[in-house]
Amino acid sequence: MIFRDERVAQPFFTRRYLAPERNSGDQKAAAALVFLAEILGGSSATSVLGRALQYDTQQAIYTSAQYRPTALDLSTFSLVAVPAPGVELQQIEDALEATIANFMTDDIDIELFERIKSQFRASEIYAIDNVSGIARRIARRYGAALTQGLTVADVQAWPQILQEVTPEEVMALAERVFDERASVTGWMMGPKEQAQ
Amino acid sequence: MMRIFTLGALLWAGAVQADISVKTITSPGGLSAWVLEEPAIPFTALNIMFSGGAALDPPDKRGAAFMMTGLLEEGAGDLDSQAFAAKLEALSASFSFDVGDDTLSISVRVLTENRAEALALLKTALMQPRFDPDAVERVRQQVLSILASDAQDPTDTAQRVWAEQAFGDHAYGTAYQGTESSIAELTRADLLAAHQNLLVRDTLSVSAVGDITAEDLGPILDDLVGDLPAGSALETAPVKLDIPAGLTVVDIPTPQSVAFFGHKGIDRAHPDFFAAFILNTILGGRGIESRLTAEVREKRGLTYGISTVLISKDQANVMLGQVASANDRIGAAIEVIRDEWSKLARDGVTAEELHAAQTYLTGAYPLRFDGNSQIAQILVGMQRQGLALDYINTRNTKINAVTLSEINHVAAQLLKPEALNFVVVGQPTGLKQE
Repeated sequence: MIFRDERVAQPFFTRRYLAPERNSGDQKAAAALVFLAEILGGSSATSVLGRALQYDTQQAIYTSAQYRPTALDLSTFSLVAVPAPGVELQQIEDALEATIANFMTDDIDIELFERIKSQFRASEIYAIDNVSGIARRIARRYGAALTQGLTVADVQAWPQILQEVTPEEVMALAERVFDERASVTGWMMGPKEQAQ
Repeated sequence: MMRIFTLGALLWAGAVQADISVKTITSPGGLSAWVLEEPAIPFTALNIMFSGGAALDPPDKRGAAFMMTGLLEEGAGDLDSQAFAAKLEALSASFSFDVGDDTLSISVRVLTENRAEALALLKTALMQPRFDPDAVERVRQQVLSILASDAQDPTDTAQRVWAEQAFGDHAYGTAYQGTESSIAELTRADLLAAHQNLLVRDTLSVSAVGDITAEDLGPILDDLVGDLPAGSALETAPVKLDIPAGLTVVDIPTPQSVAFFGHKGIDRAHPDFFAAFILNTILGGRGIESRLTAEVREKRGLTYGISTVLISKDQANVMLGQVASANDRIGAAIEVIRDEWSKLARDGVTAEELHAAQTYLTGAYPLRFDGNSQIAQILVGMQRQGLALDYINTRNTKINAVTLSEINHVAAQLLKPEALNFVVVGQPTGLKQE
């Protein structure tokens, strides 16, 4: 899918895959996908896409992986890359695919995995902080969860389920989600850029 | 030396009456700070604010402070950008560096379990940023990308042109993010110069909130920022505020026009400031239905949103409003704004409007004290403005003390419909450039 508009100052590439969401009593797949999003596109300096495309080859000025675990039906897992000046969208698409292909065959970076896990643990501490904020957040956390069929017990179990995710589970979910037949690719571009 | 002041601020949304006890400390090294001990949750929020910001950029180096600030977390000491980020992640701490025209501020959250290590990492970012060539280029591209997006954005464009007309050659007249040409030409030496100019010990305000004691904070502070060079920041040049009155159209092809409008404002330290603050809330503030929202949105359906705000910068005060409307309706919206401005200047507000605004503003105030990070930010802002510790208690009293005749006197003084300057970005129909 190609979208053109003269107001687009910055072209970008996005690919979106169908992905499982949190289900009552069955939240492990979603928890592994939360890790997968952080590993691939959490921090630009340390994530897989950030390292490969922003640091090592400098083909992108921004990369990200996004996943929303709370959804009524199937959720989506998205990859985004904003190419550096002079880099075509086709080039960034190819580079991103190659990076994902390498990720699928390499071992997961265990240090990165553990850092992400300790950040999830810390975020539970920081989340206790603001009082009305926390009331709102808790209300939203439960409200959003309950509207899509999760129970209070599911919501309470979620932080612990995150702590129990293993690298093997993350890779298994990556295998399952990265299926081109269940994906949509988008090129957002201004009037000047050449399409394929 | 320690002075304790108990503030009986009503916190926590009316549920509980909590006293927050902010203490002022002076460190062994002579640095002063405010601290609020909240040992319940094992982390500390720290806020460090330097007076002096991007307005100190030399005229041909606009964007130097912004880019320098962005590079503080891109490698320091022995750690390059990626190693620094990995270390910060491993500690689960967060440092956020933020620069504006008048200040550079750093908001920090550190867990109690690794506080010393996290603050040692922060110290390297403040004292020994690397500004590695590859990091400089990466951040330069990010800034250029932001500038390119802003240039296409009607709201950013309206704001930029309004500031250009209001502040002319002064730094406030250009975006602190710089311009495409200034950013392209900044060198590592420019960034080092900005670092040297802005991160100086004597312009610091500091607050700490959370799992930290007043006794611990002094030595921690000396260690963290005590080695910064002494000396005060350069003075931001004074502004000769000469805002033209009129209307400018900037043509950008878009179905909806965005307008910024405003004129001279009022200093925060002015005795009439509280009256002006309430007046702005009634005219175009958020939280209660303002006159502009009622007239432009509710009665005529000309916009989804219209607001005004009093902006107090170090060297200039303006009253600025913003509205977006379809190209064929923005003209009508502007007419209503001018009418409302005149009506309010001439007839003032009613007793009911004053009372409703006072009730809203005093009721909403405690809700700002929502969490360690928010409180740390408020406390550092108060120090920067030279407010006393008891301001938190006296602020609502001052709001309630404003009388109808005072606010209507200020309305007549402050609101100048004939002085309004409009900048409209879009393709408005039936509007004449003035």
